[in-house]
Amino acid sequence: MDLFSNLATGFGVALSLQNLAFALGGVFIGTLIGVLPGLGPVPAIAMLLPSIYTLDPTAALIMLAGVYYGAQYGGSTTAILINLPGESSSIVTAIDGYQMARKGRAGAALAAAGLGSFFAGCVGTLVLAAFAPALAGIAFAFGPAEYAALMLLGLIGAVVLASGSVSKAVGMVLLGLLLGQINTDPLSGVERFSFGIPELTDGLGFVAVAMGLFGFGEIIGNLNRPSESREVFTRDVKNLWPTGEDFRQAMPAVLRGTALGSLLGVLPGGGAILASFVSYTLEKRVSKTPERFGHGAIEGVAGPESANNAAAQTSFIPMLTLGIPPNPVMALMIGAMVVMGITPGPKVMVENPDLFWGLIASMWIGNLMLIILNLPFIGIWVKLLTVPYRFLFPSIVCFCVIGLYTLSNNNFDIYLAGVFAIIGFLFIKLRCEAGPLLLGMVLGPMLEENLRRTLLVARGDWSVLLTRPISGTLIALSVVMLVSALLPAIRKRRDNAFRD
Amino acid sequence: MKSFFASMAIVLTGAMTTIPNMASAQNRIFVGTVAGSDLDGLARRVAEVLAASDGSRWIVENRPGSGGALGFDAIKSAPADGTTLLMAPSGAMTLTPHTRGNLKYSLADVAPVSRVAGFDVAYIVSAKVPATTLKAYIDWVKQDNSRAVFATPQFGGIPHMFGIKLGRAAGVPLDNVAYRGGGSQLITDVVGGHLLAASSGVAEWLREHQAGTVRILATSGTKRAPQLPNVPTFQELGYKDLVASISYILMAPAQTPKATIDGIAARVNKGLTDAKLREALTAQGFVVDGTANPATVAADLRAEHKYWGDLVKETGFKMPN
Repeated sequence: MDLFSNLATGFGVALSLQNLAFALGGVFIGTLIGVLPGLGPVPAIAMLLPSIYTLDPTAALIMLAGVYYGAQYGGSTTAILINLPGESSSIVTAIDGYQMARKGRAGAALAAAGLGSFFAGCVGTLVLAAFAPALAGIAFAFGPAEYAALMLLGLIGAVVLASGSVSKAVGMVLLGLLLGQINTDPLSGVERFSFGIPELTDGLGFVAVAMGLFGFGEIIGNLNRPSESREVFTRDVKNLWPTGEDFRQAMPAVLRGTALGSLLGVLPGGGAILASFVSYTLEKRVSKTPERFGHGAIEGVAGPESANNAAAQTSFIPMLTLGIPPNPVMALMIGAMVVMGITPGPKVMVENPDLFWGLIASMWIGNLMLIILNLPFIGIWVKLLTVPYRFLFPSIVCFCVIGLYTLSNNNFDIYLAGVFAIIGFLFIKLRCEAGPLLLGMVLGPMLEENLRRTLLVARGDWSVLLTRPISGTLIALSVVMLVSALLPAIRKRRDNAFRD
Repeated sequence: MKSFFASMAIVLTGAMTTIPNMASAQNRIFVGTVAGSDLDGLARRVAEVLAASDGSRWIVENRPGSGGALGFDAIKSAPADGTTLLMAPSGAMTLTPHTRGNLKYSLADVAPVSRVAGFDVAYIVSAKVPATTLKAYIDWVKQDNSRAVFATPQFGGIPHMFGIKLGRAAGVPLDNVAYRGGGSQLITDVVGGHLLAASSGVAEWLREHQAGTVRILATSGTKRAPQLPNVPTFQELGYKDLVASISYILMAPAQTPKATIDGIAARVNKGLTDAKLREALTAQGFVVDGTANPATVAADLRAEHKYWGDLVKETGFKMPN
């Protein structure tokens, strides 16, 4: 059993005092970054890099990896507590997580997210250890046509995300697609809907829009209520720990989310975000009581959180086995490896087994540290919610504005969030959900780009989308989902189920 | 353990210094991209070199947006006293002004300090393409027009113009498929054979070339790229006019006194002679420079400005706005 002897080597490396300290430091910084709204792991790692060039490469990578998955972990905390998804993969967590928090079940939501992430992280790491070379090829099977089909599936899934009426959900997705058109068209260099404002030529910043719609919109919505009924969070916080019933409901969701995330994480680009969306969609589909979704269903927290954490682990596969970074964080880690004299690629496993297996083993240890670090914090976080709202909301706004400014050292993102705060408030008044809009905004440009690349390469022949096996299958799935959403009989039943 | 706490301290101070007003006493290098790009990484190295040379404090401030134009906005309104610098790719001053009609900066707004490092443009084919030489590739494309497609990291950049020029010189109508600033999707698409060829900076493709998943057919320098001694240049292959490079230039606001600029240039260029730093940057795919004085860099940029201006006129290429 090579795997076991390799893992033994890995644990031997990862359990040294120095590497344990770096893993702890990494996950601690990561958690901090994840919890602070607007602050992402990329700038943090970019700033860390010069100082770690002199370190032992294994220790340095263990710490950087810790920052990365620690941030994934910490991101769900603000999504659940104050409806502020710090990154695209925690939008879904905010939907049901925040509703749970409002019902006094923030502790259960945080624990479900934490335990689900821990389980998914462990399984994802195991997948990484056992199947890395085999899974690496998936990335190459996905060309522009396959991405276009995958994004289409994601967008149609977005309609299922919403718990209100189908027509509103479709409207929000379309609005999101339109907002996604504000950018410079990557294939022709045309500036679209930028009205001469240079900041708009790179598109609307996801974090600014999400903060405005979710975070600020929600705050205005709360302040709009008379002060007696403003305390959104029940003071009598029910059991901090999930109940047996919770565990029973969350467990299958965690398993499915982990499987989905492990697979989709291998894809470069939107792997983690799609994994969380697809997981939510799937949970709602298979649930016997889909009407609970959007009103605090624990599966809606546990599933997507597991999916995005499993994806965070398996996204190391293309980086470690091929030297191809699936996201900016990995690109920085590759840069660090190169500077330290390690050539990323298939040979790392052979030439630097200590580093390869040590890093993998450290992920288990890091995940364990995260759960140990975070579970005791749940009590503190939940206490935070009992702070009177008049003190709580100015501090949230303050942290958000700082975070927004640091995105690009530019006031524009703050103004943008301000505009979307008003829009978010309108959405609350109109009972429209912002989740599908954000998904449309994120996936729309990716769909467009890849579809046009497909057609450019195929010289305008649309049939490639159907004749290529992976994209054909994904499109068939999309059609099935669309038909089932539109079939009158099903829709009627759905609308009845969702009428509240 | 000591280095561990030291790096923690650096992270925390680093996090503080992203809020510029708290760090007004510091010198700044603006970068027109997000943190983590190769340009940003290089700027951070330059900041270290400057700090080490006389104990001054330097931070890198990212001003991403509008294809790097916001970095130029920042430097235009910055004090011209040597406390504020900008790092940007040469093409932003030599090519973009010809193609973008609405640009609010020009070469005249900045005073070059140092050409820090750069790399050539490479023409890359997927390993799934049968051709192993540029000539064989061109013949292979001529057999079937549907093969005449090449990818570039972005629309209207130097690799894109270079690909257009190659197509004209070789007599094949190469169509461009642009990506969003390069990155992994471009590489996986070419390795996976979804796109068969690409014109792109050398640095990103070295590993794939060495692994044999793509082939670099030729590079664009006057000399072969140091990391690729076996890959010919376009000039060697008979394309005399196909010369280009992408270099990262450190510059100051245009009104900065000459003595100040020369002083900074001397510090940076001396720092770039450090063997360890050179080795690390070379491994990342850069060709470290720092040999030319500010006046030479300025002259070179003006010549490059004319080269791309002529090519843009010749091809009628224009960004559509």
